[in-house]
Amino acid sequence: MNQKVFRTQLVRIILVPLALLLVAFGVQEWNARQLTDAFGWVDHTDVAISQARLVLRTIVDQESGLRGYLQTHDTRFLQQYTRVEDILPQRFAALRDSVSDPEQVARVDRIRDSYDEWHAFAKEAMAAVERNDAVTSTIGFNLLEKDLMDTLRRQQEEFVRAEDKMRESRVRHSLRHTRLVDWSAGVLAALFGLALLLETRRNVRLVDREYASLVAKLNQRATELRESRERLEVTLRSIGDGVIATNAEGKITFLNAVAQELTQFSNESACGRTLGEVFHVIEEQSRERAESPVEQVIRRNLTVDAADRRILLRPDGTEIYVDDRGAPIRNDNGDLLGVVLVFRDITQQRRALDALRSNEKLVAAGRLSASIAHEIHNPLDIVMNLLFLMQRSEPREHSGLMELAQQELSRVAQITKSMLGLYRESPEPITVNIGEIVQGIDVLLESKMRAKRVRLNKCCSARGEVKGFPAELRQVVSNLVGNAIDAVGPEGTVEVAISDERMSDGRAGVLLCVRDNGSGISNDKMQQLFRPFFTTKGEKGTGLGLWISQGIVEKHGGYLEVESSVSPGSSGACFRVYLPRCEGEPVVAASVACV
Amino acid sequence: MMSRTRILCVDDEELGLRVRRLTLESDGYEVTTTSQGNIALGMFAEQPFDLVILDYSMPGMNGGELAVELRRMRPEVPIILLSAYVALPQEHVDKVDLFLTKADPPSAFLQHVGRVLATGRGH
Repeated sequence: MNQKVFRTQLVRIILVPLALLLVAFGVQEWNARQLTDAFGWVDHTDVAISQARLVLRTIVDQESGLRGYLQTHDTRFLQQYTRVEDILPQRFAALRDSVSDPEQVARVDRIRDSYDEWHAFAKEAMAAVERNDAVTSTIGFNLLEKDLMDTLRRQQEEFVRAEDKMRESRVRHSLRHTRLVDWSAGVLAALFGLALLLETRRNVRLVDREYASLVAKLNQRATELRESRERLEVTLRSIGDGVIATNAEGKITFLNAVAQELTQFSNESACGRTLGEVFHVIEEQSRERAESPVEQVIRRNLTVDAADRRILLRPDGTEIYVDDRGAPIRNDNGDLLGVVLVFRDITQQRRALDALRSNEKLVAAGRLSASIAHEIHNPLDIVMNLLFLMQRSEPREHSGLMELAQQELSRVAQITKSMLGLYRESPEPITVNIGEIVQGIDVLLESKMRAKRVRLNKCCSARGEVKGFPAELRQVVSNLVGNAIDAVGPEGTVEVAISDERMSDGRAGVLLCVRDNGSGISNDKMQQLFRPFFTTKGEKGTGLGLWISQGIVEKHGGYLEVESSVSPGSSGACFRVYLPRCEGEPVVAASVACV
Repeated sequence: MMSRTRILCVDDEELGLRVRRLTLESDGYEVTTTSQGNIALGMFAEQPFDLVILDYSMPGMNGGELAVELRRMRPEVPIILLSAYVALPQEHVDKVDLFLTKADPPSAFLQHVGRVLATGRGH
């Protein structure tokens, strides 16, 4: 039932009985009026009768006064006569007004006429008394007077009888009418009752039907809601990630199974606590408490991705690496209702990545060993041949050969010294000079460059001192320069430049720029450049170099940028490494040295 | 007079090439040297050689690539690949008769040269 139909029904439920009541009221009102009228007529008759009696009594009183006067000639008896003299016309008028029936009106007129006749006779009698005429004491006179009064009495009785008859008829009529009213009220009540019954039954059926359909709909909704809730719960239970929900104050309201397992808190024990108590995360490097994504979300009202170098400390003292992400939960108005934190255990992944990094280190060490072997084998070969020739030659020829051997041995010493310098490792970050690393790289890659006749231009406008781990930074430089040499064709050019630059966040930085004029990197390859195992070198490459370099640069608080062009004539790639500069170092170095 | 065995020696390392020449000459070989691959190809086309000794890592054409060219010209001439690297791509090693590392003792090197010359191609 829609709202419009519902309203119509509601109006009908109120209006129909109201209309019926109004009709009943109207009918009963009409009946009451009829009844009042009927009883009015009865009252009217009573009034007429009493008026008629009053008129007669007044006339009788007047007659008594007249008789007294006639017998005594004492005028005091006339007082009663004269007292009603003025009243009688009024009483006659009232009697005349109290009847409407023409016959009764005629009777009243006749009574009046008889009175007038008696009144004239009375005046005549009084005049006779005043004249001392003895006629008034005659029998004839008195009989005449008696006749006149008898006529009046008879006429009055006639009138009263007629009125009585009318009264009886009117009472009968009223009683009939009363019965009719009773009957009509009963019938009306029955009819209205029936109508109300039918209407109510219809409404009840309608409401019943609607109620049943509403209940069915509600049941369906409830089922859907329950299913949706179950699906959500199953999803949250089955999801491989830990899920923690909090309210707007950051108090935990829910933990899924994975979150319970990872945090070692049950849902019951965690609910109501702050996130920091249950999800205690620290930064890997500093081991200082990390701001939880939920705190950040509440503070910034934005979705927050945490860095992956965070450790979750658990109640039993164990630690796991976690990757977490917080997102605000908002209502339709956009108000913050809470925060949902999704996180996962990336310990295995981190171990695998560490293993990969170690592997790449081994590969790099292998490459370095091969380079060292190559660089040493050449002078060693010369020295061994010189010794062999000395064995076969005259002693006088020995000095020249020995001098050559000496030179080659010095070369070997020089090479090993540079290599050791490059491989100096420190457990703590120390001041590292990027310029020196670039110079050292030259020795390592010399044969590679010579073989390809690649030109390496170095331009150091700054000393490039940064805080960090020398072996790792050397790995970055060696990787980028090695890639550049691989990328250029024969007689290509690789430029390595070091300068002081502001970093994107405004910090003072050192920029190492490695540029080549090779064929460039296509857009599709650019997307994958920093992914592990992506290589363009086939079996010669591990696909880990750039990925590891990026990791090392980020670990040192810097970042790596790359731009490339594949347009013929201006093709090439440029890798820029930005690293935070050591405090206290002058922004511009004293001299610019380009080789 | 029986003509001496002629060896073509190619290496971009000038001093190493000079010393190797002396070593080979001390064993009685007639040695022609060059530090560039394309010059070596010209020499090989014009002169008769009994053996070629190539350095691997050289500017432009490397030892392996040069060996392929030489083989195409005169497949019967044996080739020794000599390198400062301890390992080389297998496809290049397969192209030559023998692969030697530079730091081997000269006496052993001369023995290898003698053996390759004695057995010729197909060693």
